[in-house]
Amino acid sequence: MCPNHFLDTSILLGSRISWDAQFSHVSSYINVAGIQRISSKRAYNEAKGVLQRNRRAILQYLDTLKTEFSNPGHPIVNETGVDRLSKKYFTAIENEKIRNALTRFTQKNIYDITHALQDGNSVFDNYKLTIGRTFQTALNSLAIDCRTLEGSFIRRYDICPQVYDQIYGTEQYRLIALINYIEDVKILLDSYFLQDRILEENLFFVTTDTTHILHHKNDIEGILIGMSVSHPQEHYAAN
Amino acid sequence: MTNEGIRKMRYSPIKHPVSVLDILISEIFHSSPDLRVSKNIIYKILYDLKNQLDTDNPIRDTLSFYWYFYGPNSDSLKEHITKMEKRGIVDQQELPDGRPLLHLNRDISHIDDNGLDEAHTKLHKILTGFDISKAGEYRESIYRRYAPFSFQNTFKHDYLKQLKSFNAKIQVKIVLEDNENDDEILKEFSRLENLLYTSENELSVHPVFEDFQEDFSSFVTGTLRILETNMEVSDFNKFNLGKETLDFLNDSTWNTFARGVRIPDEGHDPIYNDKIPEWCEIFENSLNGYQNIIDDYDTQSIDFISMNRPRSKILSSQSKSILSSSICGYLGYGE
Repeated sequence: MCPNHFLDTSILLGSRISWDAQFSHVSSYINVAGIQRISSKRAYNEAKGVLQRNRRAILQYLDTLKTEFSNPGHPIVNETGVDRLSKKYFTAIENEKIRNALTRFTQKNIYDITHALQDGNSVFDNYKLTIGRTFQTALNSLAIDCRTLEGSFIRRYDICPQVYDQIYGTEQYRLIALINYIEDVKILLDSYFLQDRILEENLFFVTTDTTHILHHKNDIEGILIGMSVSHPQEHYAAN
Repeated sequence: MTNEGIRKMRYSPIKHPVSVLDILISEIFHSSPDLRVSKNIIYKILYDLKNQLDTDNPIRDTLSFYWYFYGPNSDSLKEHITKMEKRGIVDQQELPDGRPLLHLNRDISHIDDNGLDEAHTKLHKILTGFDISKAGEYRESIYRRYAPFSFQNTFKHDYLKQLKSFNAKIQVKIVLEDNENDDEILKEFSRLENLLYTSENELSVHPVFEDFQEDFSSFVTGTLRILETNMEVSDFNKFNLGKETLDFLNDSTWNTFARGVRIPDEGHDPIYNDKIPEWCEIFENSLNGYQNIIDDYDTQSIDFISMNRPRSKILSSQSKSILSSSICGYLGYGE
């Protein structure tokens, strides 16, 4: 019988960018045969939300740059000017993850951003459309891979409870004390719920999240009995 | 207002104490013979008037509004019109389709009131340009001139109008089995994409829309799936299935937003401040319902893609760079 692997948000997202060297382990892992991959609606929604929030943030940022460069006394539209205005824009963003996403996006795409701003409205609009369509493609592939149908590439379970206070109150309390991040705790409890109530078999919780999950592997496994927390590379290497 | 209208108002006998609102509402009916209008049109005309009156005109304080499903709404005007009905000044009649319309039953006397001269002049100017057969255009002009949030115009007018034109072109394509307009259809699709992304970003302007914005993003994702698939269908049944799903979602989206638009200060006059807790509760309940609809929509729209166009796309190097840089940044991966 195939082992059950619960994929968290980092794997759901990482497998959208399998070409990226930093996610090569996810890419290798996702191609390993003989694994029953599952996830929860919460993990899926979080991955979907990340893609949609990034789409929004990037398009809004580009519109702001466009407006700033049309103001009197604006800097010259070149990479230095874009960099200067971008840094000013990023300092005002409270959400650290979005700020990091935009910073990295700008670092890697400053040439395209600058050209889109230099070459007139239609080039700028086309670049925005490229961005929108890129995220749309990723959102579609995520939704197609991760469905509730039996036999889906990643079978998504939509039956996990909204809150765990009643059924796993103690486990939740101990995990919050350990991880201090409720969203990750809920996703861990989703996987535990599926192991405990639906599959009735031990499962692997697969993630690349070092800060919240992998650092606490032993403690988490001590709280959620039967579950093994693992990095995708462990399964790739084993195969 | 016609001269005949002014004459009638000045010389009719006083049967009830006449208020400024009685005068202004009656004037609307004198703008054309035997005029029948909905309460919503009266709200819009008087909202227009309020916005044109000098800031120190005391009549502005008698007109209080909040934005809602169909634009400016007014509980106090609604209440006043009901009283006018009871006093026999206006009558309500139902059209065969069930829409209630008001008409003037009898004239009322003129009164002198501080600010009324300016109101007469400005209302006359508004009514001179008003044509009941073009009430839709007038409604849109109220949105264009006064809507407190640009989302209201981008979504309700720009996007929905563009969608209508897009659907019409696809219908022609299916009926005539003609691909000649494919370039034009693609351009319209791009316009729709831009309008949806613009609408999505316009919701950032107020924290009250924060949760709604998350759901609206899922609406955008699902809608683009259906629109893109509909560009390629050659079967009317499939097209209609997508169109009907979309129509329902467009209505649900607007209705949910409209329950929230009156909550921020920009969405209502201060007189309604004590209604805010009640409105917040209504908005929250509506959001919960909308979230369920959006969840279903995600599944429906992906089923739609799978049913019609199951192939996946290959990303360009530019797209790969966009996606990996933002995801890596978001997940906290460095260089």
